[in-house]
Amino acid sequence: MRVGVVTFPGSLDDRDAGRAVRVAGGEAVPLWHADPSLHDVDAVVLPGGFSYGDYLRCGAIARFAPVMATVVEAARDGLPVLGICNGFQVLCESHLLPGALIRNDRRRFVCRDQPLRIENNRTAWTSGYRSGQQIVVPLKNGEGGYVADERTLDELEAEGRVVARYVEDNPNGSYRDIAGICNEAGNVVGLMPHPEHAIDALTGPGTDGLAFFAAIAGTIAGTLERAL
Amino acid sequence: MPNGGTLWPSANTEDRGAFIYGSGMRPRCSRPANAGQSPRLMAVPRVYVDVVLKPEILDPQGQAIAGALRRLGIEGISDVRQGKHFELTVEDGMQDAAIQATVTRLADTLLANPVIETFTVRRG
Repeated sequence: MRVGVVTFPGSLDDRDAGRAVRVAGGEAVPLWHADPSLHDVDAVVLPGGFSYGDYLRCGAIARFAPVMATVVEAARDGLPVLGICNGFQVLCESHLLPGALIRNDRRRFVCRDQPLRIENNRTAWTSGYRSGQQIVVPLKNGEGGYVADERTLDELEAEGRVVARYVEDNPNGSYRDIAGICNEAGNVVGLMPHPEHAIDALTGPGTDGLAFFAAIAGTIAGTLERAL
Repeated sequence: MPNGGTLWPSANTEDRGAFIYGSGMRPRCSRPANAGQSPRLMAVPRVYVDVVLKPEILDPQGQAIAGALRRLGIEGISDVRQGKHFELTVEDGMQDAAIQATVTRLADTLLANPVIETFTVRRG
C-alpha cells in the first residue's frame, strides 16, 4: 500500500509521517510540492510544519502548489487524504474541508501530549479505533484554533463529521473542542494533533497514533478485494 | 564620528555625504538624476488591499498589542485589532476595470481567507 507524503517548502514532519507509514506496514512515497503527479499512491498525507514559513496565512500558499491541484481532484474522486496540523490548514484553505484555523486563544504556542477522543471511526483513517476511544497524541501548534460559523459547526455535529475532540483541556480555543474533522464522504480528514509522533514508545507518549496509518492499509486492502 | 560628522542623517540628501564621510567630504559615486525630486513625481500605479479579521473572530495579536498599550500607560484606547495591508504595483496600460477585477479575485482567493477575513480594495 503506497501512501504519498507531500513535502512543501517548510514542511517539518514529512519524514516522521513517512516513517509512521513504514512502521504501520505501508510504503511511504515522497511527493514533491512542485510535481503534479501523485505517482499512483493509494492515499496522501499532508504533513505538519511551516509550509512557506506560514507567510500570509498558514497553508495559504501551499494550497496553490502544483501537487495540490491533483490532490484536490483526486480527493473529490475519493482518494483518502490526511492533513496533519499544517496539512489540516492546507485542506481548509483548499476548501476540501470547511472552516479555518486561527491563532491559539491563549497566545502561546502549545507543545504537549494531548488527550483526544476519537468520535468518528468510520473514516478511512480512523477505522482502527473504537468509537469514543481516548488516545494521547502530541500537539504542537501556535495557530490551531478551529473556527467555523454556527451553521457549519451544527452540520459537522449532525453529520458525525467531528473525527476527534480535545478532552480535559482545550489547548487552543477550537470551537466545540474540535481537534479534527472530515468531509462528507469521509475520505478527507484534517487533524491538528500529530499521530505520527505517537507510533513507538521510545519517541512518543505511546503508540496511540499508529492506527491512523495502519487503518489505511486495512481500508485499501478491503477495496482491492472488492474490486477483484 | 570620524571627522566630526553628525550621528543622525538629516532629511536633506545633500547632508548624506557629511553623515557618511564626515563634514567637508562628499561620496565619489554620482547621484541619480532624479535625486531630490519628491516621491509624487515618481508615482507608480498602485492598488492597496486591506485585510481584516471578521469582527466575530478572536484576534490574539490585537489582544497582545492592547496589553502593551496598557503597560505603556496609554489611555482612551479600549481595543486593538491587527490586520494586513498589501501594496500591489500595477503594470502600465491595465484598464481600471481589469485592475479592479484582477485584484478583487486575487484578494478573494489568496490575500484574504473569506471564512475569517474581509477585504477592501483601494486605488493608490
